[in-house]
Amino acid sequence: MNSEIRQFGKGVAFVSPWLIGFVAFTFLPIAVSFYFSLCKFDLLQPPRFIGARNYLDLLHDRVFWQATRNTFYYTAMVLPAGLLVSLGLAMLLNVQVPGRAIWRTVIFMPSLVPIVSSAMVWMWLLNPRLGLLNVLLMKMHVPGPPWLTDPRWAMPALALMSLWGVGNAVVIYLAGLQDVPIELYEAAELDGAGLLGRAWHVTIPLLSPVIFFNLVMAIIGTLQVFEIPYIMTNGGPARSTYFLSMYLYDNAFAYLQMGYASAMAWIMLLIVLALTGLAFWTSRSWVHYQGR
Amino acid sequence: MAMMIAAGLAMLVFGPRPRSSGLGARVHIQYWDKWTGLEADQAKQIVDAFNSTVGKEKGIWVDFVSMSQIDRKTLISTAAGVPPDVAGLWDTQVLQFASMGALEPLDDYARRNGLTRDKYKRVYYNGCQYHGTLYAIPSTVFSTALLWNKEIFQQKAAELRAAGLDPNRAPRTLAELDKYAAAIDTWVTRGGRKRLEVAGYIPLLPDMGNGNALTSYWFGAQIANPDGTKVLLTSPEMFAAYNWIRGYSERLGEPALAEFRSGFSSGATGLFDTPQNPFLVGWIAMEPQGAWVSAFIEKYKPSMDRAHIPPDQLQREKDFDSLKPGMRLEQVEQLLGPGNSPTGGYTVPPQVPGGARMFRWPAGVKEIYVTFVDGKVSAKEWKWLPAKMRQQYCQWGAAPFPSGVPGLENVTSAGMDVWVIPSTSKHKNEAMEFIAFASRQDQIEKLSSDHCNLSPLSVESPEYFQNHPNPYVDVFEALAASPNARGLPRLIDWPQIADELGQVGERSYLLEGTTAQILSDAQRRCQQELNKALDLPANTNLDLDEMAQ
Repeated sequence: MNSEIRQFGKGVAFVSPWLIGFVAFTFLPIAVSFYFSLCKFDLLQPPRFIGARNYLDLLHDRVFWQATRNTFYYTAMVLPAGLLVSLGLAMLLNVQVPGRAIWRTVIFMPSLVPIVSSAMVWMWLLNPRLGLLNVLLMKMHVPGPPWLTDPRWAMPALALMSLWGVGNAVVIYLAGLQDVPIELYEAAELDGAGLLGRAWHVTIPLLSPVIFFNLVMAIIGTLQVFEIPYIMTNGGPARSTYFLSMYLYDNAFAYLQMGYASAMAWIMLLIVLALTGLAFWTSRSWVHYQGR
Repeated sequence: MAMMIAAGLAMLVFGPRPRSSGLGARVHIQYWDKWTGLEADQAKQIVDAFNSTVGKEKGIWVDFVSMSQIDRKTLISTAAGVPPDVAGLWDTQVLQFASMGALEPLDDYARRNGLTRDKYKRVYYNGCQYHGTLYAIPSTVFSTALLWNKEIFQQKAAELRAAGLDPNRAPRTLAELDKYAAAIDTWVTRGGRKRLEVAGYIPLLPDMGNGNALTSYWFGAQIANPDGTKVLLTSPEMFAAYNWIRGYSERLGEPALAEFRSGFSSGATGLFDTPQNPFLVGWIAMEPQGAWVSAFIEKYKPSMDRAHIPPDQLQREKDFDSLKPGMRLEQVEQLLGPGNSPTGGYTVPPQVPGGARMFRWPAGVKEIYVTFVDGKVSAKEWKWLPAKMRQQYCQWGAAPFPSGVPGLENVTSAGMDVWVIPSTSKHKNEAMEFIAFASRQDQIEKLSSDHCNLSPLSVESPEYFQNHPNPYVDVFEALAASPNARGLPRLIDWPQIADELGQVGERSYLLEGTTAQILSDAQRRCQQELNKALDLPANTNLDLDEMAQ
């Protein structure tokens, strides 16, 4: 018994640097932010407890609802598009074609570009007067829209730009594709399955754990989107690309309403949890783990 | 395990510490400022000058740190009790931070150091006060004037004359500005679509920041009441201002205007500090800007400052770089033209001591000075021609932005950078010593000129007007000193209100609802937010004024 306690003590001692770091820099800030969400707090004055006032104010805050709508709209566009494009690219890159390594590198490379740099490049690409996209459209006699200053086009433009960074997901899909046993393709071929049949009945089911992983990561990522709209549109025009994370940031660091921002952070967490939970719940019917 | 604990204890005992207190007899103070790059280097020159003179004498050493997001970092460090001793913020933060107790009241410090109200232009000193107490000292400041492109005016002279307008001057009333703009607007058909190629004027340029939120000043509007407890967005003046903005969208067409504006917007930042600045490129003939525009003209399109300089003088300016130490007078004359002649360079009396001779050559907006020792070049330098004399060469002009109210003249929105002492600073007296040094006329005028901004002082020196890089500094300074120069509204949550006014502008441009509806929406939201910030009951002052009703 003594030796077990000693062993346990040693284990705790060895993980203590991480444990202390986790408690001090992750757990405590999370706990404190919940307390702040129940307070009026501007950083300088001590937090003043106001109960659920911040949460009630959020219910009546039309900018909060607009930002929530925008966030869901963006998620609804980017989530399926990102999954389809990255999965499609991975399947194409898995085919034996000349220069496959080069194609893989080309697809992955944009993910290595810093977000600020790619945002700046895209702002030029989408510039209605000088941008490459509209110049090409003009050559085809299609009038290009003012991508980032028209409320109808700004969000689709951001969604389009988000596909630029699917390289990471593609790499994960490619790794997953290497695990699909070749015998299953051969068996399916013997059973008369064509290219699409093999993809639908073999590739997708066996890749479903990877798809599920990417889906969960994409849910978290898209709901927290910040840098791209902050740089490219600053939430405009007329708040049509103003996201929850941006409103949270403005409340915390521009308007100095830390309590209100904390309440918003907790609501964002609940939304992410709910959607992730939904994904987990549905996964029972469409995610197939090998060997189970 | 024991080793890890020992290492941790060693770090605690012997590890690095912030160096904020006296080292020996000298007190080290921290000075943080938002300026980066060249502007930071220029601010550092003041710090160096202080450290080697007053600082040396009084035992104070200033450590200068240039940083981004200085407002947030100053606030957080103040809350943590480890702030800088001097922070260079924007005027936007003065009321916000002062109302939270983040700033040290400076009245006594300022009085002791001679930084009194009479020393400063009214609008800047007032902007540093909150409830009658001084919380900041102005550093470099600005006013806003109308810039107009003389070349475009001449290209469109026939159209302007046909509209009964004079192409040789800037508009003097807002109605006139609208007429000038309409006459200058140029459309082209490209890709089967009619596009605005050059705009005479468009309101709310994407990169004007606070300036856009203050457009209503030219209509005589008050954004808030004097004690900052009530937002006044539904007044007839506000209605007139945003209806005027809306008028541009209606006249030019919302899609065409959106496309035109997005051509030179850059998300959060705008393009005013890039070569794509629409005024420099010639896409816009008139725009409201601060004196800083000269820095970008000089950097990206110097020809705009040199449009009417005789070619030989223009060449002389270029040849300045070719002058090398050791060159003989004949070689220099070969490059710059004859010395000692009425048309070329001539000796500058009095003679430089030590047998040296100094020659001066006019070179358009500059003058070239070359010192010869034993007949060979020993030193060279250039100086600006006095600002007012440079105006004759410019392709552009600056004038007061026209007002929409008869009789309301020289209206300008005046803003500033400020120096503050955070309330938890440990060296307030020493911090004030530095601020007082930096606020001396020679220092602040040099910094203002270097940053291509204005001086906050009520009296400027002749040298300041001689050496300022903006040829129209007199116009900007006169506006800053005008009784109709106005700073930010006295609202402690101005950043939020400014964002809301930005939305009012955007929605007006997009023709979303009527102007009255847009302003009523904004009024309700802004007042609610202000009530929250002031801890007033939620329904305080929620009644709308006459316009909306």
